[in-house]
Amino acid sequence: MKIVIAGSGRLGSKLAATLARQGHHMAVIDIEPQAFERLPKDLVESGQVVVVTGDAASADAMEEAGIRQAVLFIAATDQDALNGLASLKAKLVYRVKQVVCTVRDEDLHRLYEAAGITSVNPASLAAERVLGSFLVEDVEIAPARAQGG
Amino acid sequence: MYLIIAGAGIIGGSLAGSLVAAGHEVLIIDTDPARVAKVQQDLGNVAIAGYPASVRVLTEAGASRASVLIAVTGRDEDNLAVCLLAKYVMKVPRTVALANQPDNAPLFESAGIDIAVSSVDLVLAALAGSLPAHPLLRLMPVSSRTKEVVAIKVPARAAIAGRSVSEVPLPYGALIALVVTSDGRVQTASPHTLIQDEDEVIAVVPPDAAEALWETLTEQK
Repeated sequence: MKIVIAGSGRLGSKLAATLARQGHHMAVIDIEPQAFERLPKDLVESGQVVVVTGDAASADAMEEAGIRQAVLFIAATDQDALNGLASLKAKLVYRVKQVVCTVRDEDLHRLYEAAGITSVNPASLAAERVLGSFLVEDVEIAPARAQGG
Repeated sequence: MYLIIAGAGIIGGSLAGSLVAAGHEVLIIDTDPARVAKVQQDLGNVAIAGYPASVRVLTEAGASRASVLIAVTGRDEDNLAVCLLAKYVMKVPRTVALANQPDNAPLFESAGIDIAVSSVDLVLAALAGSLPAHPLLRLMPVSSRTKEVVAIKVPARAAIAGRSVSEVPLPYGALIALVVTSDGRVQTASPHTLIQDEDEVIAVVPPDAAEALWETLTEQK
């Protein structure tokens, strides 16, 4: 049982660490080897998290990461287009049972959803959270300027 | 016709030039202002700078009145994203994408892109005569990509040599259409047409059956 994550950025590395500590075998793909420094050393050293340097949407990197045995693929790079291609590939070519794609552009988010890829917009989620974290009544709204002044 | 091209590199630039020369209206989108400036220098005001896979940029480019969107950037993920947005959001009738990685071409078409062009396959097809070995040449898709036309060169000392077309074990859904002899004689393949060493067999096959037919025809004694 394996989970493959594309992207070892702030989000990807956090997802990898959290899932690894829950006992899942993880593989993380990133084009920059330095990105793997975000992963907890003990998890990488023990092999609980396997790192693969390469293009997250390339067959080579995906196969090295064990996509053929993966039950879940999460696309968490900082590029929507890359996440989209990798997710589509995971779903259609490698038939990974569950594929989740992070997308910041609302239009691409809707498109990928329409293509059958579960799509999460971290920016919208963060916005909702921020908006839910203060009381509107406590924030004074400045009166709008009078028209035609 | 009004065509939009994503990617002002070597392919995009040349494509734009050819299309303009043929009398079409063209607009190129590229993220690199230097490339955009170069195109403007060569062809006039037919290029804008911007990330093509964005509804805002595609709207600015007038994508809703475009007949075709051609994505030829160096990044497959961008080609995929811009074509999907063009087709499903901007309703561009026809999308064409370059697959820099050949294995992405079928994926593009599964995702709904009308035509996916694999640069490697194109070069292989162009090299047809000059390759010493006997490759499987995928020439073109037909019937909404459910079949493809392939060219397979029968080698010397082929196990199949001397057999007729009807004796060739064909994968399901495959049909041998033409047999071209090494001296250039083209024969329509009838059940009795004989296949000889060095002949080129043109067949129409389901894409995943091409390899099997290639193995049958290139097996050596």
